[in-house]
Amino acid sequence: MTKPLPQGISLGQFNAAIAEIEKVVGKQYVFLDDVTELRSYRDAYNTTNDADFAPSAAIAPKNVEQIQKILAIVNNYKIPIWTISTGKNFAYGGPAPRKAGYIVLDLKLMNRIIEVNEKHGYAIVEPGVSYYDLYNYLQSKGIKLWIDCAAPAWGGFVGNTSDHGAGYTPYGDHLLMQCGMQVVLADGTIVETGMDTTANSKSGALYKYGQGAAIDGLFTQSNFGVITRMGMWLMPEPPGYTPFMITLENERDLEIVTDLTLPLRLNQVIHNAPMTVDLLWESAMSVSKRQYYTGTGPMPDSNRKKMAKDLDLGIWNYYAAVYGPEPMMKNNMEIIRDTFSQIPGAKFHFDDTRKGDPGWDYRVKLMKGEPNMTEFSLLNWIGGGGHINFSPISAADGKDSMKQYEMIRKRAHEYDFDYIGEFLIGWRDQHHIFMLMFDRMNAEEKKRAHELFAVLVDDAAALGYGEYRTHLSFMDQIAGTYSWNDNALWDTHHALKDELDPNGILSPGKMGIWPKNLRGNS
Amino acid sequence: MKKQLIIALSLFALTACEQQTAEPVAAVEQQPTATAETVALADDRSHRSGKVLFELHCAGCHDPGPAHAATKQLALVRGKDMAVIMQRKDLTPAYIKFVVRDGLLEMPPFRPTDINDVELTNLATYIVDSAQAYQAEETK
Repeated sequence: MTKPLPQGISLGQFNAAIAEIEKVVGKQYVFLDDVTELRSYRDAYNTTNDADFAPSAAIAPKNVEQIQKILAIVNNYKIPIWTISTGKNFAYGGPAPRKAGYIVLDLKLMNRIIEVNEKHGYAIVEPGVSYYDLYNYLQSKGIKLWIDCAAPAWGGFVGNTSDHGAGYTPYGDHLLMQCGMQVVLADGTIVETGMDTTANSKSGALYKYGQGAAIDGLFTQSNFGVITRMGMWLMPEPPGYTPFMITLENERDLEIVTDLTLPLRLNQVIHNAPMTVDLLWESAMSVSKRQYYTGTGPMPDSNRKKMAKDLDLGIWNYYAAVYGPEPMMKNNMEIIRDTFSQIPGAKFHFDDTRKGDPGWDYRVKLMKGEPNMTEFSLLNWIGGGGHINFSPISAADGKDSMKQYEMIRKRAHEYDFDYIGEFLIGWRDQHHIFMLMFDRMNAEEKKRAHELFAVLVDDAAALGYGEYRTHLSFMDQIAGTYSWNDNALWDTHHALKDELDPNGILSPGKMGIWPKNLRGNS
Repeated sequence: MKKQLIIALSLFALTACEQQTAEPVAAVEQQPTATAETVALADDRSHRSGKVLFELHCAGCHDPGPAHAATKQLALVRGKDMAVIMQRKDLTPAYIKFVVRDGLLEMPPFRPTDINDVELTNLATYIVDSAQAYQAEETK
């Protein structure tokens, strides 16, 4: 196997750069073996080939000073590095770089919890801190703050927030809850954002904006700097918590449940982001496809209905929660019951009847920020684990829900895949996550999944929907859909890129943002 | 709708009061150097035990019970005797080390920054030893 190398870099130059980096971080934190070390940096769930995203090396600095020295070296050699934090990001590329040959800058060893402030409700963490890490820390100290984690919850705050991830408590909009950031620019300059820049500031994690341009967002889903710490607001443990599920009998109920939700969200009667989860997603927490269908292609309706009956699930399954003192929860639940009882066949479920059901139990945990891995059961649905997420955004409007659902289901079935999806209603928008499952050991299935995904991007764009985040393979295609006014937005990204990173060393191609020297080659 | 708004606002007011009366547990210290309040999660990584690593990285999917994805799938595909890795008699340290670094079907690989080589030996030994102990309990 030939060593993958960055474009335009000789093996001699690469080895010379690595020798210098080893002096900075120590040999044991430079990983070069393509088999025993670097296969753990590939995207195991890609739809093409491992080689497309194979790094030349991975390096793991332990502090900001080491990052500055590394940046000086790779600037000198013009070698691209690809920054990851905890590096999970499965369905979107995992730890793997956008192109073969990049060096992965793995920040997992920068794992300090810098501060937890219970009074003001925040934590400041480094990129290597995972959800489990901070949760365990808060529990061990008896600190009455909740985290808001992704599902599955082995990811981390900085990585997930940087990729605009969402969670399930009232603090589920992670970037909204981010406050204060430290970033190392390509030239080694350390920048702190917002209030942290003022002398002796004690409010860096309390007020987001400071004076002047609020630039934190520039460093998310981008490649303008290396984020080395982040402040995150944490929700005080509320005096009470009432999670609930509503099962819905008909496909068309998706429309009305979305429309009924919006005013409850706008007015904070429902405090977290409600999720409308399709039957297969929900069933996959308990069973695998083969237990109900051993044929090829999508599961037929008759089998779906039997599965729904056996598991006491709806065609759609709606999860949300209210939080607070008992009388307030009681009032809010009354409004919620009155609202959703309008839907014929809607059935409410609570802990008393669902406890012990893995699907219910893990949602109950997620909606109170308790990390767990149950959602990984989705990977068992057909077996083989391959998955990428197609994630279009729309208004929280029932017509959009139905339009997206019908469009994606029809295409998925054309390509012989199941529709497995959920809608998550944010403040006014909704994320629709279509989990495209395939057997990663089956080359034909991978190819088919790849083709389906590309078609979905175009279909969604034609209907006016853009994606919020995507896999390495589709970053350029989706960037191309953000094209209004002759690509003015992307031209702005590229102007910033060229100014802040003239040698194009930081994560070239992240979300379709390329440095000048690589534009047009992607 | 008015009722709904009042409810929402009163919730936030109450939450704010709680925040002000709670005691801080960590002093505000935001300098990059380590402080008494700064917690390095794995200062000396090579000393993390197999048990600690198993709980952090493996238990979420491999603990017994239906909430654990790997256990559930192994029960379905390989049978219930093969479902819980901490009870299996067929796993060797070399095999565990390979699967952790390379991934297997549904399971992703783990990087040397998740679990370094010394720790991987600790982890593999812990799993095999625990499985042996389980065997001993079973045959008592």
